[in-house]
Amino acid sequence: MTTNSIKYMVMIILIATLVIPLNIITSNGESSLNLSIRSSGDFLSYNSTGSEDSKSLNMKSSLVKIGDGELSDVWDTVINYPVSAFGEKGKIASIYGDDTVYFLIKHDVTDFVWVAMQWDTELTVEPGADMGGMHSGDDMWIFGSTEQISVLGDGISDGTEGDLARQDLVDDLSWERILVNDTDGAPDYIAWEIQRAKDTGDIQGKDVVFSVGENVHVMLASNVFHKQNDPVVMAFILSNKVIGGSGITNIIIPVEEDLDANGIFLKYISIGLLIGTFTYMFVYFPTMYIINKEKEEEMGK
Amino acid sequence: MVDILQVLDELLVSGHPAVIHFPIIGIMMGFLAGASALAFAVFRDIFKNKSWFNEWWENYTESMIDRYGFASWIMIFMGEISLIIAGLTGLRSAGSLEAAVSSEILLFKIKLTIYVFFILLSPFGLKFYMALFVKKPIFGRSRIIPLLYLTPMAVAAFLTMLISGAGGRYTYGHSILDTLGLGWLLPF
Repeated sequence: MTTNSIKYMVMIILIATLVIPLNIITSNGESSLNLSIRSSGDFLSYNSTGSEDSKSLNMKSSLVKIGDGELSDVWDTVINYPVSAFGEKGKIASIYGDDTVYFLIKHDVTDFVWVAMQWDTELTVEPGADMGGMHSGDDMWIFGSTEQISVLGDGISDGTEGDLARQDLVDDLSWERILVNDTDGAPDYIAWEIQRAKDTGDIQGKDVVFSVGENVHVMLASNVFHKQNDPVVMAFILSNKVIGGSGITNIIIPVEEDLDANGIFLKYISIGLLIGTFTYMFVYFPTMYIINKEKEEEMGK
Repeated sequence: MVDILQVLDELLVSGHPAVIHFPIIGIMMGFLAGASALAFAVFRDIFKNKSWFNEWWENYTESMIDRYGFASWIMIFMGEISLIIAGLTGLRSAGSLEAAVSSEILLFKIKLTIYVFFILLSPFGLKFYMALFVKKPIFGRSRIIPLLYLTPMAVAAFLTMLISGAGGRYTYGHSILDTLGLGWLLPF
C-alpha cells in the first residue's frame, strides 16, 4: 500500500466521519434517519418519528404527567424516602428537569386530612431541629381533600393562631391527587404528584428557589403530625437529601418533557464521532509527517 | 433445559459491577505502561553516551521499552473491548436506555464512555498502522510519536477516572474522588 493510497483512505474516513454526525445534527427531519431537532429550554434533543420512543424497554415512561389520573412510572426508578409525618405509608421523592422540579408525596388514607411542605427559604432553622413550626412568611405547599383547611396548593406560612397559611396570590404549583389501591382493590395510600418551576420569580409569594446542589430546608407536616407533634426539619438538596440527620443520597432523574432516549444517545454518538475524528487528525497527521521525514532522511543516507 | 439467552441476559444485568473494573484498569494501566515505555526511551536518549551506559543497559532499556510498549497496547485493547461490554451491561442493568439517559449521573457516564471509546480508537489503530504499514515501533526514533500516542490515552484515562467516580457516587453516594478532595471534578 503506497503512501498516497493511505492518504486517500485517511481523507475518505475523515470526510465520512465528519459528514455523518454533522448530517445527523443538522438534519431537519427529512433525511433518511428521519430525525428532527426540538429545543426545550437549554436542552437540545431529537424527536425521532415513526417509532415507539415514548416507552422504554421495560415500558416505563420517564415522563411525569400531572392530571392523567395515574402515578407516573418514573417514581419507581427513584428512591422514595420514608416520612413518618405522613403515616405508615408516608414517602417522599423528588426529581428534576432543566427548569422544573417534581415531588411525589405518599400518605396514609385514614386520618390524614391534609399534608404540607413548608420551605425555610431563609435557612433560619437547622436540620434536625424540633422547633414546633417554621417562621411566618415561609413558602408553604398544602394539599388536602376536605374543607378542613382553607388553603390548598401554593401558600405562605402565616403563623397566626387562626390561620395555618394564607393563599399565595400567584399559584405556581401544579398537582394531582391519586388514590392508589392495593392488589385486593382496597385503598392503600394517597399520592400527590407536584410540579413547579425551579425558579418561579414570584417574589411576592416568597417562593423557594431550587438550584442543583444548593441546600434548602423543609419541614413535612400533616394534620396528624403538626405543631406539638412536629416532625424534624430536613435539609433538602436537589442532588442530595438528608433526613433526620442521617445522610442519604438521592438518585436524581432529570426529567425532560417528551424525552427521546434514542435521540440523546445518537447525539452523544455523533459528538463522540467528532471527538474521535479530531483525535484521529491530532494523532495521524503529525505521525505521517514524522514518518515521511524519517523516510526522506533514510533515503538521503 | 437452561435458556442460554436468559442466562446471558441475566449476566448482562448483574455483570456490570464486575465488568466495570476491566476498562478502568485497562485504560489506566495502558496509559501508565505507555508512559513507562516513553520514560525508558527518554532515559536511554539522555544517558546513552555516558561511559556507564554499557551493553547491559542498552539491552535492558530496549527490553523495557518493548515490553511496556506492548503492555500498553494490550491493556488499551483490553480496555476498549471491556468498555463496550461494560457499556452494554450498564445499559441493561439500568433497565432501559430511557431510564439511563434520564439520570444525570448515568447520562454523564454514558456520554463519557462514548467519548473514551472514540478517543481510544486512534492510539489503538496507530499501533496497527505502525506495525502493518510503516513497520516501525511506536517507541522508535521519534519522541513525538509516543507523545501523540499517549496524549489521547491520558485524556481517556482522565475521563475513565471521572466515569468511575460518577459510578461511585451513583452506587455509594461518594467516590474516591470525594475522598481525595477531587469531587469538584464531577458536575453534580
